[in-house]
Amino acid sequence: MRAAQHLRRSAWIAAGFFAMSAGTALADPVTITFWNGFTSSDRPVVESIVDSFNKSQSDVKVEMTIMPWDVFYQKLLPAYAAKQGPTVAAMDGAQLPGYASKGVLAPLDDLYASKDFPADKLVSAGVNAGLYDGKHFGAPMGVTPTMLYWNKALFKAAGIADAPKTWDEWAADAVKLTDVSGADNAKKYGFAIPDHAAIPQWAILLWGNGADVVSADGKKSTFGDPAAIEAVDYWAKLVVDKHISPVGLGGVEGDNLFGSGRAAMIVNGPWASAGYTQAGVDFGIANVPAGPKAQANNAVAIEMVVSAGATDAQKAAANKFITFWNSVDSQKTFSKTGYPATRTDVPADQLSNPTAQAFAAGATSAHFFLAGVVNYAQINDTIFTPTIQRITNGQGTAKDLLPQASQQIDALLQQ
Amino acid sequence: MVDLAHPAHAVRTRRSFWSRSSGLNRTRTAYAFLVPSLLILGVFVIWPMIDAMVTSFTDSSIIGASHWVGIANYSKLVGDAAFLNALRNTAYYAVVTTPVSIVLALGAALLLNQHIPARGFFRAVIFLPFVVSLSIISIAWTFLLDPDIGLVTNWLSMIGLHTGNGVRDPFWAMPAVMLVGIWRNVGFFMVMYLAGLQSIPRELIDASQIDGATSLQRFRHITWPLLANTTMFVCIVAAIFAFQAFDQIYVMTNGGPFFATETLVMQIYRIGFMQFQMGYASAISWVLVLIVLALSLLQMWYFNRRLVRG
Repeated sequence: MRAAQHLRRSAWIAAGFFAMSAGTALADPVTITFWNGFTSSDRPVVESIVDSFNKSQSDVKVEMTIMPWDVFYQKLLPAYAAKQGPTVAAMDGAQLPGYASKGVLAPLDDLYASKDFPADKLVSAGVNAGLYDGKHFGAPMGVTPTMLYWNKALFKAAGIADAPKTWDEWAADAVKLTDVSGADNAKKYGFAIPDHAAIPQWAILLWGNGADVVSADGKKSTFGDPAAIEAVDYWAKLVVDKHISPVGLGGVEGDNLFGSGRAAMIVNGPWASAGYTQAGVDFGIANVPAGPKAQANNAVAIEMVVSAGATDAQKAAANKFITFWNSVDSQKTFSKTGYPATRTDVPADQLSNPTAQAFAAGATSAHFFLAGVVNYAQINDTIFTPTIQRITNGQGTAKDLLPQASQQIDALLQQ
Repeated sequence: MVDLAHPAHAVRTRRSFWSRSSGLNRTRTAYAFLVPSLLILGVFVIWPMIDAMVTSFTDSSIIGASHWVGIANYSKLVGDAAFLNALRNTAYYAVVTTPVSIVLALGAALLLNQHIPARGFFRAVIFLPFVVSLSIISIAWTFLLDPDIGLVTNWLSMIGLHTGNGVRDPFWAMPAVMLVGIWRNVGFFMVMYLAGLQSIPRELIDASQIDGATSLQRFRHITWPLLANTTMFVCIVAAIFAFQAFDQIYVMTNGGPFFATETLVMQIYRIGFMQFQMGYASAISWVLVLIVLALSLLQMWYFNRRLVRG
């Protein structure tokens, strides 16, 4: 009797558990993981947008992991290989072809075809950066040009009224603002030019002279062309002979110099503005001065990509999240980071941050460095950067080293 | 008390060692004690090494199928300027850091083996860097040696020594990472030498003093020969440390400027984990293993000739 009672009670408890688990299974949202590298002052903004997405609906839950970009790029491919990769990842548009060519990213054609997704309202640079082999593999997360930051106090002290507009003014101002006669820790530099661990500064200097590292179709290196040699020569001489910038500067070191008032100019993205403000620099943001052939600056596009290994439900969930990210409201929030909107239908004056407004102005002349080149990272890290460093360290001239580098790049392009 | 030195006892022990049952038992017990370590070594050292060797004969790139390419990766090494540069840098690093660390460690050990005030404090100070994480001390050194904001570079410039562009200078970058490597390892080698010094029988020192030997003679004829065992160990370990140099280079220069500080391990990391060419990176790893093995065998052969058997 007692045994039967006991059994019945157990059965009820079991049934209850079953019902509960079945109930939660029905209401369970699809969970997608999202990796990115927004570790600095932009982190809380990104977190708030993800939070408001999770709160706005109950079908999809985004679990975000933020890590430094270098860690991100070390982990992503092994994670995909081990089938542990994130459903959605944010990556530099320059890196996207490398991943797309390995087949780890899902094409986003159904996202672009969806009526909810504002494909026709997006900044074209952001859409183009997600293209590989004619297919959409990325949707914009943040698209921005780089601009010239200039220290107003240092300019005023040197008797210069405004930011330079042309290369000649740029070079003259940089020389005038440089003073390396003091002790090592008091030297002042006119224009800090980081050559590694930064956005590709030297690329801007090439573009200004109508040169580039690869041809427009990305099939052939043009780094050895006379226009490229002339551009590198012009700026390398200013660095080596006039000391307008320390040699071999990294991105963070460049930021430190500008932040401490020891560099009067630097080219950087909107993410740097919060740090400069915090450091107490009174700075202006201007368009990169025009070169003899063109006015050009870097375009930076952070693209959202979806894992090829995601289930259909996860892909649909990812599309929903990416669409939310590119909504007008989300973009107004995201502009707190200083990034302009990924959409063309958000007027600059509606952006919540003066930096974002200033950067929105430079978008028209922005170029992608090594756009669509699969071996981007290898060309940049093992050929382009070391070649510039050799020249600025006086271990060769542009005339000798650029054609050599050009041959090495050609070999990688043909792989 | 059993007199273990008694010949009868010694014979008995030897016989019982060879007697079958007890010998087997002993072997079995010994293996039982070894199993946990062997298991860990097998799973985390031996197996990955074998796996890396297999990978080194393929074009594996983490993702997608890998194909057998025979010795292509190894033959590519011979003409690869980047590999030869890394090999040269590694040799430069090893040739400088190994003897300098050993000499400094021996000097510190000799000094701190004497009765000087605050001996324990100085020993701890010299040993400390070895205990702290190398990446963290490298970050600290990066700041100290920074050409723009560095404290050490500032002090040096105050006494008229200009270090130029510091770790960003292709000439000074390598000495800077060597300095950190030496600074870190000296304490460890010093402790090894201190142990060696304390194992030297006191009577020999006393006898030499009575015979009127100078301290230099004493060092040359007693201390140095009797430290041969320690020196062999320290030399082998120092050379292995040098060939493994990575942490401070990764943090301070990332192999730059233009590969001036790229050692073999840095290159393996770059090719394997940045460019994801696992096959080629594994081939370089195996070359490194063979170099370290050859070097260790060479050192053992050299020191075995002058080993002092107690």
